Amino acid sequence: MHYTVANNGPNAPEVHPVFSPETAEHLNAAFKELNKDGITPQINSAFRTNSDQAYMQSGGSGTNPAAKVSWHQAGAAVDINGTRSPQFKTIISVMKKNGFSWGGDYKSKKDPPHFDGRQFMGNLNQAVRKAQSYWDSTQ
Amino acid sequence: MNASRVRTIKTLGLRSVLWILIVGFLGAISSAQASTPEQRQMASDNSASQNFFFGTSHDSKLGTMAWLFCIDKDRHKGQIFVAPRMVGFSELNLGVDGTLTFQSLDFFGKNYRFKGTLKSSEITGDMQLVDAKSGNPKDKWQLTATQLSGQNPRPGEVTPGRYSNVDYSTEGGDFTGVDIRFFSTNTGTTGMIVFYESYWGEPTFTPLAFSRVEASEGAIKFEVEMPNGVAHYRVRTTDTGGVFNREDAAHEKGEKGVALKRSRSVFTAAPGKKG
Repeated sequence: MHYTVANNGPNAPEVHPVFSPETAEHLNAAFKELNKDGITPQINSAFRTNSDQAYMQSGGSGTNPAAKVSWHQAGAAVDINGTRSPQFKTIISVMKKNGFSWGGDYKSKKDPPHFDGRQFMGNLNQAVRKAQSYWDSTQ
Repeated sequence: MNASRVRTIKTLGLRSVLWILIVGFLGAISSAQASTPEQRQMASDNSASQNFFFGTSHDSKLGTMAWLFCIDKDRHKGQIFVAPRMVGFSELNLGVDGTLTFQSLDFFGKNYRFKGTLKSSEITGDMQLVDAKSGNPKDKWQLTATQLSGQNPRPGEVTPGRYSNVDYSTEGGDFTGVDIRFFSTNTGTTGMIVFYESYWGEPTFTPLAFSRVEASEGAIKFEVEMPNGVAHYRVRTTDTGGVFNREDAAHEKGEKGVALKRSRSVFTAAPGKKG
């Protein structure tokens, strides 16, 4: 299974390609399929610490307090580069087939690079707590 | 005696209020005649630009990076654009000999520290990215910056402005879109592009500087130097903004480009807000 990690430069949070076990399983299957099609996905963002997400939120105009928690904080989301590239349609279809929800399908503000495991992950807040405490224990 | 004094003060008070109202009314009329909202915006931007500097530096992994910062010499304050917003300085020192040092507040556990000189509206020096916790340097760039002139563009140049579709998706927790800003300098049009969503594999959150800005009827073309070569972009201008596309990339059949909204102010940073 092959993927690359984007170099986003000094202003972005570090990319941590760390995933919850459920997400990793689905992602492995999806990326293997993409690799077979000759596509090497480039990960732009994956796991985020609570403080990184909070900082990101504060730079935006988001006002919905219920949405302040992201699947990125649960290690259950991945942003993939190249949303206007010809192969992105294949990426969307393969990721969806492997259980991921796509941000381009959101009814409100769309998030095309974003795929998350809300369909197989269960409770978001519990998943965030688990992922954050795992991350803290490794630091 | 006391009653007479009170009456005089009251009368003076009423006269003053009347005078203020009349002067205010006349002022409002003359200001409405003298400036349209567009002129007022331009005047405000011109005044703001006096403190703004636009710089570039080379990075082997990212290409030509752009830097936008604001320095208030009188109040020893400043801000640096850390996409998507301006981040304040925790300290700024400007010596009489032109020595300039500043440090930004922390973002994502990091901060910027600059050491150099400010002479004749030009800043040169080293910008360092530092780990906020340990104080260890993470990266360093040689930077040259020029004070933005705020002057009106010469014929054939691009009018300063911002083309953007940047937004924050609360559901996904991500910024999306692209932000393009054209600035006016004494040597012509310059500017920067920040991808919050990597459309064709570009680095995100990094302001990248343009080169070869060309304005023709109905379109603005510019180039961006990246490590894997020069990328060619075009904004086809419309009544409300533009349609953005990369000219040298493969496109999906029927791809129409990215719709952007235009705003006059180039210095506001918060996405999703009018600016």
